[in-house]
Amino acid sequence: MNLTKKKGFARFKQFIPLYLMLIPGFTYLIINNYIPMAGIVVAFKQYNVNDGLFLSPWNGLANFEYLFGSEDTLIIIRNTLLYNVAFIIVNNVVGIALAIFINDVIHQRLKKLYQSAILLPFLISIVVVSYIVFALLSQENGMMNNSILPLFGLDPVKWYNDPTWWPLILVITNCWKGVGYGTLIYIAAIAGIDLSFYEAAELDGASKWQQITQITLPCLIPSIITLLIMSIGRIFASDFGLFYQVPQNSGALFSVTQTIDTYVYRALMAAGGIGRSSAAGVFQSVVGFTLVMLSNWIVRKVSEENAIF
Amino acid sequence: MSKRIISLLIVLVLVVGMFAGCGTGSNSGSTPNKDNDGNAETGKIDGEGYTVNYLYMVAQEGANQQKVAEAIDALAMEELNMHVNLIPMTFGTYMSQLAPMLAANEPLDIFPAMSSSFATYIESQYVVNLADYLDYFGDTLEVFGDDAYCGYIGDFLVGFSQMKERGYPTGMVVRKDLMEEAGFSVEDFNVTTDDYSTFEQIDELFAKVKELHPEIICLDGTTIMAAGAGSSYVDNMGDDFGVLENYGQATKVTNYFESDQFRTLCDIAKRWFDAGYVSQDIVVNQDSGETKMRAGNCLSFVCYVKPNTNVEKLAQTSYETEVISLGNAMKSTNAVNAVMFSMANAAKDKTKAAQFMNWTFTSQKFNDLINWGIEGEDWVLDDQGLAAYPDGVDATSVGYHNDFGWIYPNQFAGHPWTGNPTDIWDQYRTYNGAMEKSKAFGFTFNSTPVANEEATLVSVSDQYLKSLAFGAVDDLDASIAEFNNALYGAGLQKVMDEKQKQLDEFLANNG
Amino acid sequence: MIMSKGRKVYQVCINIIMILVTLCMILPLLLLFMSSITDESTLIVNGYSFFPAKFSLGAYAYIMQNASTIFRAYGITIVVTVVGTTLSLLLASLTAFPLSLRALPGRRVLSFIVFFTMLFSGGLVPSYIMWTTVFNIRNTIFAYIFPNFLLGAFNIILLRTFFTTSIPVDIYEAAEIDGATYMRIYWQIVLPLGKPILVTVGLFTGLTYWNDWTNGLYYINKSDMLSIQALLNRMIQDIQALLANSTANSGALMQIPQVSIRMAIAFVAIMPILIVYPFLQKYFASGIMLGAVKG
Repeated sequence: MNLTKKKGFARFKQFIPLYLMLIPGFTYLIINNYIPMAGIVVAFKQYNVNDGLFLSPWNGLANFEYLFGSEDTLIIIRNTLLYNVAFIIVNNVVGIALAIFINDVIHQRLKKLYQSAILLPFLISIVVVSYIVFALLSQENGMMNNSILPLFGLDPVKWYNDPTWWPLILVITNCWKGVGYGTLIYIAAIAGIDLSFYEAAELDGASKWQQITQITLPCLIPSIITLLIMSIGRIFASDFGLFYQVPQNSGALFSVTQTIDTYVYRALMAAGGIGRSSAAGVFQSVVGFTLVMLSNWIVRKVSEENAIF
Repeated sequence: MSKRIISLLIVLVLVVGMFAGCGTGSNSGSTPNKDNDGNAETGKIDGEGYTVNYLYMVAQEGANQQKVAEAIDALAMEELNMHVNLIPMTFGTYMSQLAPMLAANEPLDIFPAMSSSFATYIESQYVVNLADYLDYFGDTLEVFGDDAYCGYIGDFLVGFSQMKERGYPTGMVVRKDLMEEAGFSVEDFNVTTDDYSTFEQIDELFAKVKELHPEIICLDGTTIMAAGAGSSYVDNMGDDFGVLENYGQATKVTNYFESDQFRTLCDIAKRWFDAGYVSQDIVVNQDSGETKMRAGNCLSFVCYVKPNTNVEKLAQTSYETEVISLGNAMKSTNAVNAVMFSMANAAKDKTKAAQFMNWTFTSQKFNDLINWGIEGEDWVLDDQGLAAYPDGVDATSVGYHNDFGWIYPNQFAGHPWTGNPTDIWDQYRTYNGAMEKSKAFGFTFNSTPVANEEATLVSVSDQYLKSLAFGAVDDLDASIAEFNNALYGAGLQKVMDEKQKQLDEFLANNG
Repeated sequence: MIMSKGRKVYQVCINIIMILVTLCMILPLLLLFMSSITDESTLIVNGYSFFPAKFSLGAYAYIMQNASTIFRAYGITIVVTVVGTTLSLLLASLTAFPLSLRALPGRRVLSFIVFFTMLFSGGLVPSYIMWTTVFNIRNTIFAYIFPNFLLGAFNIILLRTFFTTSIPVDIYEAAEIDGATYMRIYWQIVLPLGKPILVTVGLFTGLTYWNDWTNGLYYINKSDMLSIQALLNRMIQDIQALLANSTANSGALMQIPQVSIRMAIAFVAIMPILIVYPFLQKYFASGIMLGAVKG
């Protein structure tokens, strides 16, 4: 923008309308997000309702102890991290591929059909997803064991007893349910690419593949980085329903389905209190925060304009 | 510039944050106010128009909810000079709204609390110690007798229970038609835990039914003998980690999952599972045995039983059933304190709230109103003296009908519903009186000192218990060993030691 | 335009892939629908199937016993979704636009303040206390609109990224030379050019409002103020509790189809979206066209 000539207050003054535009949004964020954040202190307190949030006695890190009490803490953290990494990679790769495909479909009716279909699973709650998965994998009358596996001459599998396949099942389920979200964002981003790039490439006789790798993907990088950094902030959190309801809470699968959120849920059944539940959230946030700062710093070093802040 | 913005924001956050916090921190006053008027001994209570916020469970919100609220308000005004603000909650609402309500200290005087939450409620001071107000609970103590002491955790009286059955022996509900077709009658079965070979009688039934109807699943549902570990064969004193074996007749806290009984019960389940009597999906099945039976291809399920189980199961499954007892009845604290009426810290006048609570345990009108609704509109007395739908009203058109007597203060004070024997409450009393008391009856474990261990143990139990109890494992002994290793790794010994310590204190004081 | 052979092969390939993907997305939904009209006993005995042995509309009949409540709940949800989404888009774009300008002093810090809300949250209880005591939203329609969903950092940042990357700076400069105010630039340039992402973000926000039942769960306890999701969610929970706890006298409960009703309820919840969706598609496609012809 042509705004660099002025100095000092004059330079600041011309931005006042822009700051004014920020006021409504920031007011909401302060009310909805920042004020309740004061509640984080409860993670370090022995909360009692008579003293309230701020006067309840401190109890150091006692509320965090249960998070690390299990012999399986490392497995739980490993699961949470690895699944999130897998989800980020798979959902973004598939999402970008589908976005490019849909964008390239010439037939307008089909294009709309694809665009609508891709978001359908997003509408279904995770509990219902767990029924659908059960319809496939039930050992008694699931479609997998009864129809699909015999088709290929394979033996039935005790799906809910055998952890082998679950990492794959969960990644597929998560991708199926969530990919529409990313796809639509990428479709919008592709729609924002200047068409003249493609026209020029066309004139140079560039192949479809070359256009994708040399125009589309580079233009998507800001969106990819934005989505990536935002997912990294949630890397220590997990979709409770996906890991609890979809495996039907089957104990035999815990080694590959127990994540921080399912562990916390089970733990809070025995030892509740808002101190402990807050502690889990703080723990996840601190790790997410650290990783986000780190990744944003790296992005800033490599290409400053793509950093989020 | 940016620094200034940040510091401004921080100040703002802190200021408004304090303000938001203060709202929760105020009205305390947890000390009893005994100088207040209206002592129970002087007879008539004068509540001076105090409003009691009374939270209770409803089946669903009926059309006559408002009328019932007004009727109860009028009744309490007449008898106690108190107003009542009824807060009806369905189970779903209760589960999600109660916790934030308590944490926010919202207006609330009396509410039903679940035993799994007692430790948290006490720790967070959500509930009032009713021991300080015992003077006002004369009638209640009379109604409950010794059972009233099940509300104590240490010196803290969390609340008062409901009048209902006091023990939950395990039984097997079997479809009568299939049983008869296979040539059995319920008298053929005499299954006891004194001799586990008696469980083979059930194998014979399963084998015969399976032979006649291969498509029938002999046993389904979500529970089985060893899965509901504590409540039936042993006294678990609040949670499954450390129990008194042999129907609570031991006084040494032991690990149930290492016991011969646990292994034997798992082994029986494994025998059934391996023989194909049980659904392949049993371990992950979430549908109750009742639901499965109603669908038509399920012979039996295991559940807790009581005097009128048959009548109840007919309503839930649409099949005539017989109940095979799978163990003895034990009177334990658990059965009494599963749900208790507690007084919330937010109660403005705790003395008046106590007086009101005391009244709810004796008033016939109150108990009929919250359970059956307005007399003449939602129910009438039939010629046997039982409550029944008025002419032209049925289950679908009734304006208010909960049938939740088991979670209301005192259903014994109200009218039983038609279909029950007229002396049903006497039957309950006899049944309760005949039960063997656990040695730890009246004792509730306070898990606060070992909360972290408990938290981890639940996860371990979730991981292993269900597959073991249903016998859906390849090598029983190896799995049991693995389970126990994981339990000790999660701090089982510490929990058991703490439990033993508290129990010894209790026994010393009450012995 | 005549397509080259390579282009034709490419078109065929992507269409085949997309048809397979579409089937993967649609079939489970179809299974859901078929299960909802399957007879309860058949469902439990035979499991879920595309070709059930016995049909039944029992689940829908049960839900429709409360037809008036259901329709009122639909009404509440529609109002909440429309008002919420409109407000949300307005707030998010108004916030994202200044943050998308690289020249704005303090842009980094302000962006960080926005982003930080994605990372840390004070949990349910503090915000519950604030919304109920300070703002008194209990049992009002605002309980659905204000807490949590009105403005999310995620949306602001998505919009900001799009504005930064896809709206060329020279357009702003031209507008400035013409003497346009920032408000006019926002209204006449940013919003129209940002349509592809605005439609996308609007769709997400709309679905979030439509699908949400948590706010209803915490802040509403009057049954005539329930949104459709809160109502249906409560219905499922109450049926489960009822069936687990009913005693001898609850004969009527026997009729409740417990398993198929979950499917029917899931379907009732999304049916209006399925109906409206094709119409939304129009804006969707045109948004993309408009985005594509700019520049």
